[in-house]
Parts: sequence; C-alpha cells; structure tokens
Amino acid sequence: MNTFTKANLEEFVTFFSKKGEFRPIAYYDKHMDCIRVQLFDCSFTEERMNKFVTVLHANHHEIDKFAGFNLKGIRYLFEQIGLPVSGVHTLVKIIDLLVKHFPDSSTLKIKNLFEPILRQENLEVSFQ
Amino acid sequence: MSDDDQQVFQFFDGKAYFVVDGPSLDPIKQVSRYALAVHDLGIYINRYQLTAVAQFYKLIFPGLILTRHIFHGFNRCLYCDDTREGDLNKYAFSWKPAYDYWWKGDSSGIPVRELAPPNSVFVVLISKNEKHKDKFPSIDGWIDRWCWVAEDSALPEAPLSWIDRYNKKVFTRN
Repeated sequence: MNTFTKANLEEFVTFFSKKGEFRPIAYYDKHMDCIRVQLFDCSFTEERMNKFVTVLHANHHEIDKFAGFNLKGIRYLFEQIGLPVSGVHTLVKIIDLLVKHFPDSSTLKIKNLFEPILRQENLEVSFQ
Repeated sequence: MSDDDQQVFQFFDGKAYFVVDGPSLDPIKQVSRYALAVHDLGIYINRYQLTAVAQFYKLIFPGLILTRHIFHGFNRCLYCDDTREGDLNKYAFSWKPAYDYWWKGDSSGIPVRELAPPNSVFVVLISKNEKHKDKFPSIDGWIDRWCWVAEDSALPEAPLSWIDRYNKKVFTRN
C-alpha cells in the first residue's frame, strides 16, 4: 500500500493544471488503438455494443445520460473505410463513413445520438 | 517535486512514475508491480479529465491487490507496437470497489466520493512490460486505462460478457 504524502490528489491536479475547464474532446489512444470521444468530465460506465463501438453512460445521474463513445480497432476500421491513419479527420466524417460501410444498429446509434453535438463542437481527431 | 514526493513517486531515468502492487501475470510470482508515468496522468489533467485522475488516485494508486479477476487478450482488432496482434499484450484487471469518485468543479475543485455504480465493476487495462524490461526491470506492466463496466451476472466482479470480450481468464482471487 502506498503512503499518501504531501503530493495528494488536489495538489497533483493543481501542480499540472492551468486554470480552465473541460471541453468535449476526441483523441486517438494509440495504446488501445481506439478513438475516445468524451463529452463531459464525469464517471461513466462503458457499454460494449460490438467489437468496434462502445458507448459511455454517465454514472450518478438519475436519467441515462450519454457521456461519449469509443471507436475501437481503428487501424483495421480505417483500412476498411478508406481513411489514412494520419493527419486530422473530423468525427462527423469518420462516422459517416462507418455508417456507410458498416450500417448496423451500433453505428446508426452512434450517428443518431452524437452527430448533432459532434457537428456543434466540430470535434476532430489528430493522428499526427 | 518536493522531498515528500520521493515517497509517492518512483524515479527511473529521471522521470517520475506511479508504481502499484497487484497480482502477478507471472505464475512464479505472487505480486507484480505496475506503473503509470506521472507525465501520462498529467495529459489527463491537461484535457481536464479530472474524474479519471481522481479515480486513478483513489481506486488504483492504493494498489491493485484486491483485483478479483485478470483476463488476457481482447477479442477485437488492436494494432499496437507494430503488430496486428497487439491485444495479446493486454490484460484486464477487474474488481468491485465499494466507492467511485468524480471531480467537482474546475482544476481547483475537489474529488467527491459516491457509492459505486450498481451492477458495475472497475476495470484497469494493463500492457505487459515486454519491450522495456531492460530499462525497467522491476516493472511488470504499464497501466493504460481504467473505467467502469457493467458486471457479468454469471461471474461476480467480472465485466459483462467477458467470454466475448477477452481471449481467456488467467487469474481469479479466491
């Protein structure tokens, strides 16, 4: 068991952070080969829809609130949909191509649930 | 970093790491050591994913020794470290903590404790340290990711549909 000393959680956060607040984000997680899209800073439970799609449900809310989603196996998926794993891509474009190539209930759910906010926030993923 | 930090972080090559104990991936060892670079947790802070930081500090940093199950390999495409079979280097540790934590406010806010989400397990994803064993001989794995997942109804403290998610279960604490 580690002993907590002066470097406690609040001090750790203060040490690293600049004044600011969470904004919706999308990024490529190279260790897990997936795109992570998070719309709120909250605790969430992941729901695996299939091999490629996971939806995030916010915890500690009385109503079911979607906190984001993950797209998994990105290098394989991008090969299939004809996108390079380089440069910058908008989430809207990625999801449009996913629905076109894999028009199942999971990809349609992602499009229906998240497309408005992805457009509003103009979220992009960088592979640079 | 202050002198006190020396007791919290461990330093390799001048870089600071969180190091925690947990059940071993190696059958001849009881306990292994798993690490996360302080810089990597700092990336979460830079994105203001402060709930994830609170969960790391409160649920993982005290140790992974209460892990109930370990699963090996993911049943999905995972290209990592120049191989298409990147999932074979990955392990999922699952257990059921009593509490969850989230971050209230901006970066000068505070962690808030809640009862764990019902019917959920906490899962920590770890990459076995194979490539960097020369440089980090005492580290057995790297902490990649953590989150809550719905619990399997047939196997307590395991993620829902673990048979579909992972190649195999390699450890269960009795």
